[in-house]
Amino acid sequence: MDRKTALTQFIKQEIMRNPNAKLQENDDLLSAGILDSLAILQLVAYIEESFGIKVPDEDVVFENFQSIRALAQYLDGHN
Amino acid sequence: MARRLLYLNGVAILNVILYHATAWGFIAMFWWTDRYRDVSTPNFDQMGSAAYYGLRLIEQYVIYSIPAFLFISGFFVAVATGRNRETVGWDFIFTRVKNLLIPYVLWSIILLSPDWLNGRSFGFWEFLEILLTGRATNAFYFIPMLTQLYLLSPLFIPLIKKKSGSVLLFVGIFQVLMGLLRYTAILDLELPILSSISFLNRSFLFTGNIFWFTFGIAFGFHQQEMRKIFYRFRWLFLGGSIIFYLLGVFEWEYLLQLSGKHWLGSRETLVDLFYAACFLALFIAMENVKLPFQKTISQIGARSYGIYLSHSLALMVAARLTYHFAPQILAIQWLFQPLLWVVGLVGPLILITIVDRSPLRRYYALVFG
Repeated sequence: MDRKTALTQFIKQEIMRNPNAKLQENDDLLSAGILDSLAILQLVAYIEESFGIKVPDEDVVFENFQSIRALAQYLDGHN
Repeated sequence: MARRLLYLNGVAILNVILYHATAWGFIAMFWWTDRYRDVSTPNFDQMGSAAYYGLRLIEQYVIYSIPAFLFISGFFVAVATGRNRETVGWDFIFTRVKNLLIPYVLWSIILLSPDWLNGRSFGFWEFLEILLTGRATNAFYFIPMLTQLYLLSPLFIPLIKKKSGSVLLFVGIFQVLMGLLRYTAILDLELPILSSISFLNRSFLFTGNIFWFTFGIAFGFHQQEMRKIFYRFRWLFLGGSIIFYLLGVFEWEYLLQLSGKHWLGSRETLVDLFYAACFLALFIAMENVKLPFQKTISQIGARSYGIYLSHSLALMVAARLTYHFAPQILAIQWLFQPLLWVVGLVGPLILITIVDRSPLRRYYALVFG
């Protein structure tokens, strides 16, 4: 499973609590209220555990968490 | 640090349950005494007992919890602003406020419904006032206050981004002044010169806790610099945490004596403010210290808003059932308190799990945020 799909599944299952929710890779996760403070922290924990990528604190910013695409791009840059 | 904040959130919500359990402990000790002793109530014979100080030590320890929630919320606003934008978007703020308020209104209705079923009627304006001031239960003042801070944040983020140090200093001084003002309320001092501004210390107003939210935003924008500074002074913060904690216990006894009353409702004092500041700074500074039960407490942290909304009801039910069916337990705080802690945590978690694992799951956000 690629990262985008894994991230989408995690957000739908664990954060939106609706596997059938419509979620596009460019949807604004913050403005749409999909990610709140705790959800971002959960997502960081998921990324670190599942992908083995440490997300430095200074990278936990709007630009990297705005959408699934932005997040996947950020993670691709940290391989 | 991001993951540690989830842990801090978990610790803070556990503390909130402890805090409200101690409130029921004091009720059992002083107002429900006639259920297990042949006395009239209120009865303050147990003031100064080992059980009393046990509860006071817990109550004093958990003081940093609301500051911790506000700090984390402020941090998140900084995250949502990002590096390149001048301030956070209004669309984000409105969505955040909506997600806070819908479950809040629902739980306020649930908590008021026993009164309503007992024949009390609520007019629209009264209901609105209850919502705006968080009066449905003691814990709810926090939600109108957090909402105000979110709504104000787009206005003061540009300032915090540019001049964090000055803003923190200004807000810190303001918070100290609010702390000083609070002593007049604790001691019922009527100073005409302060009467026009005493409303600023109402618990549901942002003015009483603006520092912690601002601190969180500033930390979000300047994490690396602030972490280095806090690390340098870590032992000072450790010492400060211990000293202000103990000082807070003695201070409250002194204030109680000074007031000439049998009992004072819990209020944060200036010493508590310094204790919370030292504790949060210490938490940030001790970044490399391994935290116990990290996964479990972080999982609890992830459900903190749902627990916050529903724990008051769980505690109330547990305390009242004990009052009616096992009043002897009210006399034994080492039994009564753990009972309340377990019900206050497990009750909400069961409710959350039921909603989360049933067809109701799609309504989870509406019920628990």
